[in-house]
Amino acid sequence: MYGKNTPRLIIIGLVLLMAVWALYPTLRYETLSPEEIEAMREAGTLEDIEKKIIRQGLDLKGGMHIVLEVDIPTLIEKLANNKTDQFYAVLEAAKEKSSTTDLKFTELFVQEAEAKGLKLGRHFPDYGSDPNNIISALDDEVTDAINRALEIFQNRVDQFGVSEPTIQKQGNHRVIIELAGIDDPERARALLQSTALLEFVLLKDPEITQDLLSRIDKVLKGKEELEEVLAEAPPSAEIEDTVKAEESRKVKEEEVSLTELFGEVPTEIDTTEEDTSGVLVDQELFEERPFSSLLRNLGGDLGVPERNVRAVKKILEMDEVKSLLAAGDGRFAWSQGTETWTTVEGDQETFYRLYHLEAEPGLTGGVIKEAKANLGQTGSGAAGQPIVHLTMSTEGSKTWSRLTGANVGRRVAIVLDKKVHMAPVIRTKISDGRTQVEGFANMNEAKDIAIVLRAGALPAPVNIIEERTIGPSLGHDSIKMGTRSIFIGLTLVLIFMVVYYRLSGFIADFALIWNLILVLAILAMLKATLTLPGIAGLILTVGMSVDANVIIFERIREELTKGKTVRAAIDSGYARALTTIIDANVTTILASLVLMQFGTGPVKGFAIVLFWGVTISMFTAIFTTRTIFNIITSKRTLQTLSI
Amino acid sequence: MRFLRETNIDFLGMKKFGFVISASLILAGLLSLFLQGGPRLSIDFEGGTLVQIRFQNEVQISKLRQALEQLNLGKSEIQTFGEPNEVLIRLQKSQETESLVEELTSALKNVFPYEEPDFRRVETVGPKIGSELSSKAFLAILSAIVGILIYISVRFEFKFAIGAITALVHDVLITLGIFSIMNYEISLAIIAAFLTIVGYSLNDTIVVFDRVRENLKRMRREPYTVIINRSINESLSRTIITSLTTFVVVFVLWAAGGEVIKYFAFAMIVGVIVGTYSSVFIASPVVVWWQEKFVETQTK
Repeated sequence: MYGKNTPRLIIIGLVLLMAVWALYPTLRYETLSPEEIEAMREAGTLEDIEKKIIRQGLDLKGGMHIVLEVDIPTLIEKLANNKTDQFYAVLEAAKEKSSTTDLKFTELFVQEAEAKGLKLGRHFPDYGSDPNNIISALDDEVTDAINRALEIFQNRVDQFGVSEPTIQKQGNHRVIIELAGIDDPERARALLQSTALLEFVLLKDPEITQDLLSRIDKVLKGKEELEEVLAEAPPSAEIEDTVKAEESRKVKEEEVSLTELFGEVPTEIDTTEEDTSGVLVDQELFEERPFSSLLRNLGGDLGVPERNVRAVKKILEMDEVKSLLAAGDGRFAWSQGTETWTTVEGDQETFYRLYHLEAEPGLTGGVIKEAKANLGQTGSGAAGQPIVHLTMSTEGSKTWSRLTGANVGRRVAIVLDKKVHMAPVIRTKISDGRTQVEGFANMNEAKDIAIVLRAGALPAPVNIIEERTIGPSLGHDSIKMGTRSIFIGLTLVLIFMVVYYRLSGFIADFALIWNLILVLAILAMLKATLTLPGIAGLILTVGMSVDANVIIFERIREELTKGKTVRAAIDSGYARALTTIIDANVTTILASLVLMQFGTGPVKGFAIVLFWGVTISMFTAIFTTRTIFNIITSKRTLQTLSI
Repeated sequence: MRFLRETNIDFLGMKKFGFVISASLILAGLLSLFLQGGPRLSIDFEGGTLVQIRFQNEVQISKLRQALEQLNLGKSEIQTFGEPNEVLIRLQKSQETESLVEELTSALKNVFPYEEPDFRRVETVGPKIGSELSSKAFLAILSAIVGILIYISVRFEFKFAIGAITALVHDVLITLGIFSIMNYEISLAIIAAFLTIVGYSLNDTIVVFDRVRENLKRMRREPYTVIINRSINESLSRTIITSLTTFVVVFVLWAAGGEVIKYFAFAMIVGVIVGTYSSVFIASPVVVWWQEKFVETQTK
């Protein structure tokens, strides 16, 4: 007499089919050998299957979790017009306060402006004068910036080639990016953080630079703050003589090409080179020419020994120096990489170059249409070196053509993210809009730069405010131990139930295994991610989801003790247990829902598993076991029940 | 098989005993929290940097500390993690992980020239994100409690909600206290465990209350104490078995789940024990107390 059970059996059968359908790809994937995976990757079928399997979280697979925040102060600075000293003072004050309060930066900034009497209408003419309007307009800009950033990240990550990346907005100025299975975190970080701000900027004439250096020396001479600068520099061995660039340097390909580009070695920039030494010169010379004594002549460019970099940066940040630079419409920029030169003494010294550039770029990267990484051709200066070919839009080509045409003989710096990649001499007018960038450490760097140039520039710089990198070995251990725990825990519970409830325990065990399978199937269908806390959630489900059956069985036992027949005992046992089970489970479900809202990543993974584990247990432990009991009791009238 | 035949234990009669135990546990925990200036928070909440490194061989922590001191990284804590060749370093400052890993690698090379350190985990959290998370976690626990309070008030009566909430606050306080006494860190995962304890503790309490609700209808003449005692006894078998299966699995997780999940499992172990205990010795007495204090005095 299966008759009245037929609908129940159909439902159970359908659920089973669905589960098998959802879990089949995962099973298949897990049993593939590495060779088969490789073969499928080549055939392009791997991606299909990877989409359907249960995704493993970063804590299991290894990878990176990064939270990036748009640098709102810089964005505001970019948006403002006619920036005055007072404007910067307000911005700085707001920055300082933002680390101690939870207020939005935009609000903080406007508040600070009010307090300091800064008329924001002058800097943001489009936003009106009402502070609230300005706040909301700035907020809109922030939202817009984050949305554009999100899109750009998506492009960059897609081209980087990570399988199943997660890129999400969090709140209104953050982006969470999860890259599973990544093996080079440093590269990923550089790719994400690059603002991809490409500029072509003319270099100042050497005479002007020379003039500026002596002015800076003059301004700084005798200043008390210099003591601090000296203290900043780490101690080092003295080097008596200066670098004699041409004869003694350790030859590097790119240097050759750079010198060639200069045509000839320009006249000496400063005279300090005769008698400077080590990091920080002898006290006397330093006092005489505090700034230029820190620099060296590097084939016509300003070279900064690595040990002096901190001191030089410190000086460049001084207000007096800043205003001198601004007065001359110029700025300094550092070279992207370092070079090692050998002094006449035979010592190795690492240098950065420091470039004095025009303040305004002649051309920016918005005009780039195509960017491609390649190896430099033989015969060119960059033979065998990684380079990036750029193709500009029509408009860009025009500007570039005008710029190069008008400045033949001058040098132009190609600046990416504020770092100078190269500064060749313009030999002829370039009218086809093609150019190339050199100065990359390796091919991967060139490739990544090409990616970020193609994907476009970020509207504002982004800061990494949270980063978690899990190595694959740790994830592997976690999976191993997690699976082992599930296995042991499950076995113990299964055995206990059979011992305690005999045949009925066996039915409950059946429901329990079902429950686990269905939770996994749901995870696969929802494309949810299994994390280490998620595994803990599965284990917890094993322990907690037998509860429904325990409640039912205890009720049935009670009813049997009262002298009811088997059939009647089962009926009233289930009926009475039902409300209890629902009431009791709702609380756990509520807690897991709250967790889902609150948590990110691992915690969310836990909440999802717990939620579905408990929810499904109500189906498996009530519906499925009831069906089995129905079938057993419908065959013949039982006198006793194995419970 | 059956552990318990029909029992008739006077649980409510033991409420003073239970009260003394709970009060001393909570006081001990609060004292520890007070002495240590609050719970020990992980970098999730405080901000900072965490580095887990595995070496091939056991390393001396003191030598490792030397290597760290050279780097000027600020205040740091070093402990072995699970295996003797694995260490966990916690730095107070949040670092740029790129340069940190580089600097650490070279510093370690100096101290342990023959080791190939495997950086198994590098996590860094900015201070701001940490403090935001703290308020979010607090809000999460609070909203869970409010949601549950509403649910129980609707399904049962308000006095049951009071009993249930008292029990779960009791459970979370004790777990928090024990974490403080053991000097374990409260991380994001531990907050997840706390919320699960909240769910579990209520689950247990509600099964008892459900029986009370049913018996209230059947045994109208009986005094409240008798009804509740009877209900606890009737559901005792179920309480013990479910607690047992849950305890077994979290214990397995604690013993075999690995170092990362160990503290989560520990919180759950405490939660299961305390949660089971509190539904009998805290939640039920509170309901009786509320009934006697507010409901019955009003009707008289």
